[in-house]
Amino acid sequence: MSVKIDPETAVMDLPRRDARDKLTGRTRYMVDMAGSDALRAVIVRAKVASAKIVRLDVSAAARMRGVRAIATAADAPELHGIGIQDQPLFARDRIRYPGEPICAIAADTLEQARAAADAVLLELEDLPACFSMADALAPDAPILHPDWKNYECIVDGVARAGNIAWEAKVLRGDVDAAFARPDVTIVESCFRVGRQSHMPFEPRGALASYEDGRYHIITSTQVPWTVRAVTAKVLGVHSSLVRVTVPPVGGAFGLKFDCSIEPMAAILSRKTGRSVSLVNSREEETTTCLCRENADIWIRSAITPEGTIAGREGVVLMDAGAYGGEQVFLSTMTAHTLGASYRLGAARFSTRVIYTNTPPNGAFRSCNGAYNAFALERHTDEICQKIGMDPMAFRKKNVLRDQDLGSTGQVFEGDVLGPMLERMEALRASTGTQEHRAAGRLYGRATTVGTWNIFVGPSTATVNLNADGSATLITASVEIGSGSITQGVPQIVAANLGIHPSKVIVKGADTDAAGYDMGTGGGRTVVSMGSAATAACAVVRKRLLETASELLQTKPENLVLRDGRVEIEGRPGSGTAIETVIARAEQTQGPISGSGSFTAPGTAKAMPGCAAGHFFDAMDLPVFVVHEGEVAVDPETGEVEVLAYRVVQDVGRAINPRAVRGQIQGAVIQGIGYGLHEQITIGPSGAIEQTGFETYHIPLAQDAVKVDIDLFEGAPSCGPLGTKGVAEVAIMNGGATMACAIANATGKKVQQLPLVASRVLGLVEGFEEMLEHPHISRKWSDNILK
Amino acid sequence: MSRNIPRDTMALPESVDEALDILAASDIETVPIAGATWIMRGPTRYEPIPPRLVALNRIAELREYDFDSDPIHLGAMATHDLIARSLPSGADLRCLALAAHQSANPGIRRLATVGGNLCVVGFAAADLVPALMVLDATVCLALPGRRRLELDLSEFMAFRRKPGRYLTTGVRFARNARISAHVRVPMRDYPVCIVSLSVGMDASGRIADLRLAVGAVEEDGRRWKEFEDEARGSEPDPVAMGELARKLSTTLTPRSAHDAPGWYRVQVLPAMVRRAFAQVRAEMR
Amino acid sequence: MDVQFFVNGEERTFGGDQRTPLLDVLRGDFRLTGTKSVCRGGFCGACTVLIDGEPVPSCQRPVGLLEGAEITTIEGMAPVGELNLVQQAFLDHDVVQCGMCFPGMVITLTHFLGSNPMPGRAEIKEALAGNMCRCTGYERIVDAVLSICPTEQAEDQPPVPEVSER
Repeated sequence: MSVKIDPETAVMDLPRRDARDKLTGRTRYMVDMAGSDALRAVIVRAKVASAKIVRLDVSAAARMRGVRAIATAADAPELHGIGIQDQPLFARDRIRYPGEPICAIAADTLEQARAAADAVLLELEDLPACFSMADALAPDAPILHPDWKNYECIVDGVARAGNIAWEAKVLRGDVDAAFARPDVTIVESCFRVGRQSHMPFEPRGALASYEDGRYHIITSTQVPWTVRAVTAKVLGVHSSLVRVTVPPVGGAFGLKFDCSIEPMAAILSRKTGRSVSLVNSREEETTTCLCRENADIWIRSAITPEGTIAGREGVVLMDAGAYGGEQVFLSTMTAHTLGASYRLGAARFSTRVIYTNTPPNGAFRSCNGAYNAFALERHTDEICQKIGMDPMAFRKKNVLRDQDLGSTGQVFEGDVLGPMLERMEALRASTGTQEHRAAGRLYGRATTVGTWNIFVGPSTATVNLNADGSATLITASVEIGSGSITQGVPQIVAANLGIHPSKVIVKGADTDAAGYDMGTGGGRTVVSMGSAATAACAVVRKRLLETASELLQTKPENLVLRDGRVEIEGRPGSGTAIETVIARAEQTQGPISGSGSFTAPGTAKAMPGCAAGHFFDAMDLPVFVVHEGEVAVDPETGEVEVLAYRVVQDVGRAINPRAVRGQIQGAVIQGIGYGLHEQITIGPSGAIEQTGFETYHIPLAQDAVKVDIDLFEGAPSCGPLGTKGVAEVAIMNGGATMACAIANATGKKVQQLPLVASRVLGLVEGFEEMLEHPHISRKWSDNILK
Repeated sequence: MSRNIPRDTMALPESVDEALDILAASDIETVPIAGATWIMRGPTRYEPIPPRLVALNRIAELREYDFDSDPIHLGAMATHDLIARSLPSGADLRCLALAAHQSANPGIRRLATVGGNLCVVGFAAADLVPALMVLDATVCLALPGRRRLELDLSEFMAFRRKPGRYLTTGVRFARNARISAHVRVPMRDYPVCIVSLSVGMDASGRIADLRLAVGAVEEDGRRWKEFEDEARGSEPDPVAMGELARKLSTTLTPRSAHDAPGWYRVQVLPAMVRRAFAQVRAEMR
Repeated sequence: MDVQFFVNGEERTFGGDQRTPLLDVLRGDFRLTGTKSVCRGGFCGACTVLIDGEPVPSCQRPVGLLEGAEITTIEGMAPVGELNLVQQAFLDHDVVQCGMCFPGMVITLTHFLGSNPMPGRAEIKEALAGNMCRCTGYERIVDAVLSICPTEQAEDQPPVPEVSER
């Protein structure tokens, strides 16, 4: 039986099926679904960063007009967390950050719920607080989680202590020996980044109801199965009692890769017997955003006279905020970002996740990759400056190539970054540069590289064939705007079944209908769900071809699926319509349906003993980018204009090239926002000071630049049809490229992001204080728990 | 908003006096609204919308705009968009045209009014204020008891902070023979530094008559008299003017806010002054 | 006092609090949820509607001001089942991602093209100063708009700020 699918049949600029309704305002997002029958709920949140809860009295609030129910910590007894189960749904005996939920109130109207919130009595006793990682690491620092030793962890035996929520280590080769070599040049750099806020247009929230003894949560999430599991966990009920469905999501970018306030709505729906709508206000959404974390980075390299990297060591401090969350998991990615891209003789990295009394952080498109790329690429340029080597020549000489070792000893397959650098030079030659438009301003250009991982992992899909020749694809993948489940996966299914993608119906995510999926994010949907769907299609194809074989009196091996027909290979127009075969199968064996599954192939291996505290030691599916930016810096105002931007991206195979380019364009502008405009500050009380679009500046149309894109195809991939995730990694080098280009333009040492105008002017004028990171020891081994 | 709040949360007077009577008679917080763009986004600043609003949009007097007269009179309801579209071309008015055109975004410019821009205390980045200051604009006020008052804009900036019920009915400014300019940074969002100027030269080409106002730097926009005094009699050379601004920048008391630290506002000021004078020079050629 | 006005050509009455933003009346009372509530401060443009033909953020309009006004929401920009030119261009160019900003984008740009039939790239971007998008990076939106302009403009360069005279 022929199982070879010609990948080219999947390649097309398929338009989005959801565009028409989105353009006419008819799409119903979660925030649009609550009608007049639904109660409205609000969250009462802590106004202080650190306190003991002496007494919570909701009795007066409960008696207020219109109030139907109040949910408190008593309704959600259990802790949850991605790596460490350290977080309650509602603060129980202790408040750890400003904005932490205390209770939630459902009432007939939002105004009534808000009025009742003002009537909640909360008696507190102040506790000391840490607002920065330096504070939290101080010897006498107050411990946020005095009970840390008793928390459940997903991985055993990880180094943790007090405010150090998690520690991941990499150790390969003899780094001390590399630094002790008499012939090496040692280059050392310190970096700091602020938080980045996702600012999805649709905030987090849920519409929950309690139906037939089960919770039904309609939510704006990337991870329906996580919402199901966490809701069940914190409520202390069986997971099977929770159903999660997901309408189109109005932007997510990683923010919605965790359960958030959904369980609160679930509790209130059970207590009232009504539908309950709970949606963050913009101010709540912004001030409790699970941001890309702020981080402090120290990195040091020993460079040989030939310009190779004999040894590299680094320390990354990641601010978790008050709870471990995604940062615990993401500590793994230092090895695969800061420790990647370049060939290292010996390497050691310590990554520490630090608790502070600030709002918890989370996942944001490319996560810590975005700032580790910044640190790595600025460090690389500082190396080049110190040894007097051309930055492009240095990169070409040192980027990972076929059979090179990564920091954990993983062997990289294929020569990807090197040829991509050459393609970037060719792209620049074809577009020309924009230096002439700097017009008296300081001009800078920089080329940066980056490595990221496609987060494969468990997915499952079902494909049903319908009598009309269409197929229904049932998955728990979510449409978050990336197109992966409205374009990519249906294209893969269609190519497998020889039908047009418009004939592939995509069922909206529903945990009652579809099997487990890790979630939509991390660049994984086309790869993981695409693989699961491919496996489902294999079952379907087998039955189709066997039935057709009887009908057409020829062996299944001689048959192909093409243009909605089952044809005899080499004889276009022969055979019969797929509908005929489906009808026949229904009569003889029953309708055709198939399911398939996929998870991490697990083929990539690290060297034993190189990594500790990691969730995975080697990357199953590395993905690479080369970015180049040209900037003009106004030396009098510090304002930066991006004159040009070019991307060469490793996409495996682009099955929808136009959509891929759309994702890259959008991600790059978000990355430029991270580099230049988007600033979160933590105020003196530990709170995020930005409250919405007025104070947090996402790029506007006039800040954007048209990105010149070259799609690099053909790198090794375990993805279906050779695909890789494309939407996640495209943001990664935005900050790095802006920083390196501005450093080149100004001749100044750029150590921090974002490079808002005042910071750039401070650099130009020499006001900007140089970072030293006294809370990171220059003796690497002092930065690990013994 | 809920249905059980008393229904008369908005009054819609037809005349200035009726509006003042409503304000005088109110026993709850009552706030006049023109474009309403400050009030309506109050909740984003943790300020609830006041319990009672007095809408000014039906008052004909506030919608009288004499763009072609001299002095020009703009009723308080003149929007930024209307000003940008309707102001006669002329070097003397360029500062106001630019200020109106560069403010906020197109949707807000269609709503936000000159009256609102002048009256809102706490909005340091109002674009029109410095531009009107260098045009020697006066603010027309209606006071209780059918009284009318016209105040110099700089006087009004202090007056508006005092308690008391009044209505701003409009602004008035005379055409002049000076050349004006307006620059701001950044071009997006709210500005962190605004410079408006209006300058007349004597026969030898030296500065004879100068008004220069700075916005967004201090809590309120103001005429920079220290600069005006020193610059009088000099060549309007942009570079020299920028240098003078640098020398005198200690005479300003900059505010720090989310969008920029105080030092930054002052640091960019010399360049803003230089660019404003460069606009003037371009106009002179 | 009831407020009466027209929404997408239909006379509607609102009897609640006159301070209520038009945005909430459209979404909550009339269930016209195509108008999106995002920033509530007049910054993002997702709630843009036409009031008497002018695109403005509906979050900034207390409904009491709208007696007799003619309001067009995204639901009224084209007959059911049809798309206007701008919508069709966005569809054809595969511009949409999460989609939340597009109702506002469509209204702003449809109005803009009515008064500027032959805009350049920079003018389109300037017109979008009050319509934020978090997904797309804008440029393909601009490309789509340029594709329906009668005469495609040459790739005009954004203006260079004044920094000479140093």
